Amino acid sequence: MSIKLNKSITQVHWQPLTALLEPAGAKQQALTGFDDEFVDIVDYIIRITHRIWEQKNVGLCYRYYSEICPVFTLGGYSECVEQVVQNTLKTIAAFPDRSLIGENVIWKEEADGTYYSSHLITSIMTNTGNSDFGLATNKTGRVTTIADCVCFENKIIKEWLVRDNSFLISQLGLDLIDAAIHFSALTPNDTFNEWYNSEYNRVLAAKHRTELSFTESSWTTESFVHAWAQTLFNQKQFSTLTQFYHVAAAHQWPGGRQSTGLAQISGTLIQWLAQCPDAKMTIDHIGVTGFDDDTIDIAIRWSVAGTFNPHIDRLSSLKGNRFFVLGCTHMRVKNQKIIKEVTVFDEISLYANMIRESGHSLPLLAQGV
Amino acid sequence: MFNQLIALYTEGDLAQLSSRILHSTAWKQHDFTAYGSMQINKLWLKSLEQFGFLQVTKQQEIQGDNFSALYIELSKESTSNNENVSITFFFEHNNEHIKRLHCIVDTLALAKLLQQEPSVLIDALPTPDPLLLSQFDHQLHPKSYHATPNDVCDLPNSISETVNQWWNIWQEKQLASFKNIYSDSAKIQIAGFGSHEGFKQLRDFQLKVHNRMNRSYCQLENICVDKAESSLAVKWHIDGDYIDNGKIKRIRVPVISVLTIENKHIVEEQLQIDWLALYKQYDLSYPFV
Repeated sequence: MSIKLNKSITQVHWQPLTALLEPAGAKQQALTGFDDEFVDIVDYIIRITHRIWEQKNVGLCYRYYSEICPVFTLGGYSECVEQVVQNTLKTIAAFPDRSLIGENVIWKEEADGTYYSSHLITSIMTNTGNSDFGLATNKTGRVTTIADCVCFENKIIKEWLVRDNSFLISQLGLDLIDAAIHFSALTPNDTFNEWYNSEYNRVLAAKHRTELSFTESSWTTESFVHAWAQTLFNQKQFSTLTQFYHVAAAHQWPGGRQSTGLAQISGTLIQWLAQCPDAKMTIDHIGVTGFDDDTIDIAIRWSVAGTFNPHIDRLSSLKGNRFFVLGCTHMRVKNQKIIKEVTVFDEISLYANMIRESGHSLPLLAQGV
Repeated sequence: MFNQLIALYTEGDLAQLSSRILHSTAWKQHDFTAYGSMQINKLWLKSLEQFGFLQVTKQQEIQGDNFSALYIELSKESTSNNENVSITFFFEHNNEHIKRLHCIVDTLALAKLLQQEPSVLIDALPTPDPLLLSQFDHQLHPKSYHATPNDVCDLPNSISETVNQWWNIWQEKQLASFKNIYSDSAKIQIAGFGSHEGFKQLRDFQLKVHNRMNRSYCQLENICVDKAESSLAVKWHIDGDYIDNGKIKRIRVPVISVLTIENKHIVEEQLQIDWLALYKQYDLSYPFV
């Protein structure tokens, strides 16, 4: 392993909430320009998230987000702190008891003086108000989110946000394609469209035939992650799963895809990639922190682009559409093998973007299919 | 932690067990995962309402370093018959807090204990987590890799061979191994099917389970071995195509097996499955086997 465990930086896994909210230790990172109360970047992320979401101090976004803060999601783009405040308030109104349980924060100190954090969150929330999903269902659901943030001088200055919305809506009793049809009616702004187009073209140009590999002795996080993307997603060589995953690895993918072991993981990847058989993947950011003495945590932000080959009858009219995904993955790696993976992206927005772009009007489930 | 888990079901002691729960603890029961104290507390209270306050008639502890397991049988104090309900817990911990816990209740036995129709109890169970099972190649190709017990944990030499043969019974359907590794007088408890002496009922059960499903595949998840090195708990599941009234349903059956081994022979086994949660998850017809 190329990463040593830095035991002085806050690690979330075994910490009670009270200890996380009142850190007792001394400051462990320079954190230039950050409030003195924060001892490290993990502490900063955990506490500001708690204050904004669980204590409902939505206005603290003004303190912890920069005036101009691009926030990228597959469902839309927002650019300023005012939009962050408004979107936060709308979500809390629709899901007033939303809890944000911090599962992990994987961080990186960048060369330009910023900190990059990748925050894995589990939320429990009851849908008592109307939302972009539709009318209130009064049902409680769980959802996994990964928020990747660039932090500088006490503020988040850029964010990529992915949420497993397809898993959430299935608990709320909503149909995935119906939700995507509703979402497709929302009109994204011009900046989103520019970003979507440029990202799609960038990812599609990835050189997918170059062979990337590593040996046990030359193993680095970067070589491993790039080989994972190239070999599995770009070249579809699924028998090589054994080079990347432990034979009993736990694998969580959106919509409730839970796999254990190589056969099931292989099935999940094949089924998912079959809907975009020419998929190209790029690795857009890698962060790594130690978990324990022989285990590391890796955070990856990635993109996939290609051509849609629907396997859901209701989406058959979208065949040939542009397929683009913004995704994040947290993996726990022991002895150079993934033992646990959580991958998050928004399947509703994925389909909604294609429906909107196609210009087709798809019927809702209740209208008959 | 074992005492605190037991005290929940016998005394309703929420406070002690709550002190072991983190903000990020996940408690899976009836195939529903509760996160955080509010959801977990609600699950406990629902269990207490269903079970009542019971007494422990049997318990087995598997104390591992990071993962431990507990098997308990509970019955009513006042009852004159032998009805009881068993619960198996498999959990990740650091000796101070529980991070993730999977609890499997023998709900068929619970229905009998409560003298309820299974359909009544099914309605009362929480809605299981959404699960999207991908199709995969279930075959054991010569060059493909499938987890064996030694891949999942460092088994002590004294039990390694027995445990690997036990897994072959399920993964490779090697029925001849029953004779090699089970004591003639082994005490075997199969969820929903009661307790038996010897392996014959378990062998019949294994055959029925695999024959009831097409393309069945067994996958190990985790193993914890007791410090005394004679007992262990295995968390695993079976995937397969279940044909229900002519309709093919891809299903997953979560299982926890607790094994006690003496002189390379299994002398006791508890095979735990939450049958009613399974019926609820996949809307299956009763009974499964």
